[in-house]
Amino acid sequence: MATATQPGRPHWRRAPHSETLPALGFLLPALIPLGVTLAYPLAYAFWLSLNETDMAGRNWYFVGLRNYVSAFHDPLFIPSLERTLFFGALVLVGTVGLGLAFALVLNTSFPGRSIVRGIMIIPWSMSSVLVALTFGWIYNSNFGYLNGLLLQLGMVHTPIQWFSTGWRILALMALAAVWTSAPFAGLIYLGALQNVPEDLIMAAKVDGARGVQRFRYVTLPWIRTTSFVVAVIATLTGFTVFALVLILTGGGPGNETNVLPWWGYQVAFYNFNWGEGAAIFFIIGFITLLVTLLWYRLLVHRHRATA
Amino acid sequence: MEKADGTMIHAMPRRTFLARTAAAGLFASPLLAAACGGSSSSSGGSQPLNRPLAMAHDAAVASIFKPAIDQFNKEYAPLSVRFSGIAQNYEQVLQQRFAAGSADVDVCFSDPGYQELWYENGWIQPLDGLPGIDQLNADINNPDILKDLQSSKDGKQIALPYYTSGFMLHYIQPSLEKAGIATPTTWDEFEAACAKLKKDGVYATPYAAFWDKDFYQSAFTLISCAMGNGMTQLFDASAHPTFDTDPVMIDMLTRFRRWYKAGYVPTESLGSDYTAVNNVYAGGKAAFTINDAEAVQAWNTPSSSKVVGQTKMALMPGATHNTMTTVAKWHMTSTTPNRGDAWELLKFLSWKDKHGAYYVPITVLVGGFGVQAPWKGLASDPAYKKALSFPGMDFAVLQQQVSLGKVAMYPADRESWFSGFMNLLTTNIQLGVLGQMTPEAALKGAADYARQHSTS
Repeated sequence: MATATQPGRPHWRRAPHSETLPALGFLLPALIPLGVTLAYPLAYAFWLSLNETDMAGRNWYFVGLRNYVSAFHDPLFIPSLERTLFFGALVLVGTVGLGLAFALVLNTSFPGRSIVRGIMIIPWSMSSVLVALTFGWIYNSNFGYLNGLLLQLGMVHTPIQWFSTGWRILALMALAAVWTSAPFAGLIYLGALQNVPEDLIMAAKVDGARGVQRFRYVTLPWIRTTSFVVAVIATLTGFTVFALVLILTGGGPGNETNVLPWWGYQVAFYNFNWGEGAAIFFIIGFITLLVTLLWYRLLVHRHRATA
Repeated sequence: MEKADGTMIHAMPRRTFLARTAAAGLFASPLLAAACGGSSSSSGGSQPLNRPLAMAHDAAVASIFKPAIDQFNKEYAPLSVRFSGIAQNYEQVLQQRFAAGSADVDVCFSDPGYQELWYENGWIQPLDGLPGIDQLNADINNPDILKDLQSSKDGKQIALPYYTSGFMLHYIQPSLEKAGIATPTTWDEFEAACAKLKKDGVYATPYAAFWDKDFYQSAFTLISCAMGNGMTQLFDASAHPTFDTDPVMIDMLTRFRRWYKAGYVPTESLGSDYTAVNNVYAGGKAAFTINDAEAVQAWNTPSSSKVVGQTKMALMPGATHNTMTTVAKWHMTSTTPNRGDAWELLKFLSWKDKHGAYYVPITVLVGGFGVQAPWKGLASDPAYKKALSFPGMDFAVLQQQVSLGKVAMYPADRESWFSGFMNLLTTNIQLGVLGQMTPEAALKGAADYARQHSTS
């Protein structure tokens, strides 16, 4: 069975030269704030990552890539990277999987659907600090709702100390992150699902495709670009986790929840090694970019090339 | 173009529209840029203050400070003060604001480890020569504290005392009585009590240990417990570490590891925070905890505790019963426009109000936090004793423990590397407790960091 493909991009008419200047005029009011708030800090941080400075940033010494080399050689780098990848993978799988599941449910007709759609935006709109505090209470071994529920259901007989080992804590924190990001992903997917042409579905039905086959060969290819967007959002959420670690564990026990963003924060703001701290954040950015490019290759480019 | 009523609409050609709007955009851009980038710098001095004074503090204590803020605004009008709360990681966030030039506060406090750093970077200013400072210094009851207020670089006074505190033992008296256990006075007795309470099934985890990822909890606990057993200093006079070879310190971390392994401590203590550990004790899930007297009032408040009337205070177990005295401090920022006004606020927050009363030390420190202030005059102040007479507070034990307090981290706590050291020591203590490092290696790792930086 042939898979469905999205229509190609429209071919825009090239603007005549006489409109270039007015177009720039339109863009400038937006470009200046963007430059001030985005490009300048990024360039400053990158320059900082190539320098060593004192705490107040008065004296700068150019050191080239030494901060990057130092970060790579730090014994905390590889374990922190592993934890970040583990956390990011959980958030990615949870966000994409649950988001799609939410969207499929919401794409069907049932009473109160519009109310549910409205409610779904609430977790996304909550501050990450509030989410961390809330989940801290849920996971609290003595007074938390999770143990309370398990005890009442008779599934456990003594409270489980959820925050006792690093990998388990990371998984629980990933669950909190997914709780925030999956409903939003669901809404994005819902928009895409509602754009799947009805005639394609009908054609597949006429061809004898069953529900799973229609989803596999018609719906999924149609929402591939949306999956790319969701995957990028989930990757960013996972690889830049900070508030959950700050509020819930401080990187502990020991270093067991020390992920790259937290490590970079410590290097910069506890050890006052601004240069290396900046370098760590550029490494995180680079890794995130690589993963994003991977999603692009897998979900967009490959299929566009074969379309 | 003609409208329905016959009047003419003057249609603007597309090119004219584009040209005019682009010109408007070009005109608006510099205005927008100026609006985004416009700032005014202020310099320390005596310019009139056309805004309330601002004091930086953890946002969590805003309600405790509210009576003091109201009192200042009433007593010192037309001067006024606003509370500038910082939600998390107070010192780190304030430093970021200082470094970015946007702290925008007149007065701030610091825990041990920050004042010299802030002074070296020009973020706080010396207080020498301000009116009444000699009188204030003469009221300080401990010469070590007075010394601690000065910069180790130039000897200038850069702080006023905020509060002093020291860790001690807290226990649930009925549980110990029921189990036939006397109040532990040594660490061996403490360990035996934990073993019995666990074995008898009285508590699954008898010791609510503040071993979370916060230097001011886990490291303070370890250092204070070691001082209770006879350790005196962490560093020598040149800020070189001595604690990693101190057998008492090694023994204490070895005990921590043993208690953790034996299940006397909730395993999640290391991956949680102050509130979570505090709730274990306040929720009646542990017989012991070691901390300052800050939470005694909350433990005896029915709405926040299940151990009301049951928790008692005792001296730190060990050979000497000493503890570590810590002093938090108030500072005047370098950017305050009016030193005189900021000084009035500093004196009020640290010492006495306009009428000579220890308003903040009594109302906020003792009444709100349950910590102490180092003023000689307080000892004879009836309002002070009255403030300390809330349920659960054992004034005699508190005074005795305070008198056994020693400053332990001087002079290293004023070095620029101390913040990184704090972070590493906290992590290494946890690694030692978890058994991922030997106690010796854990302490040596942190000490080597200090050595490397103190000699470089």
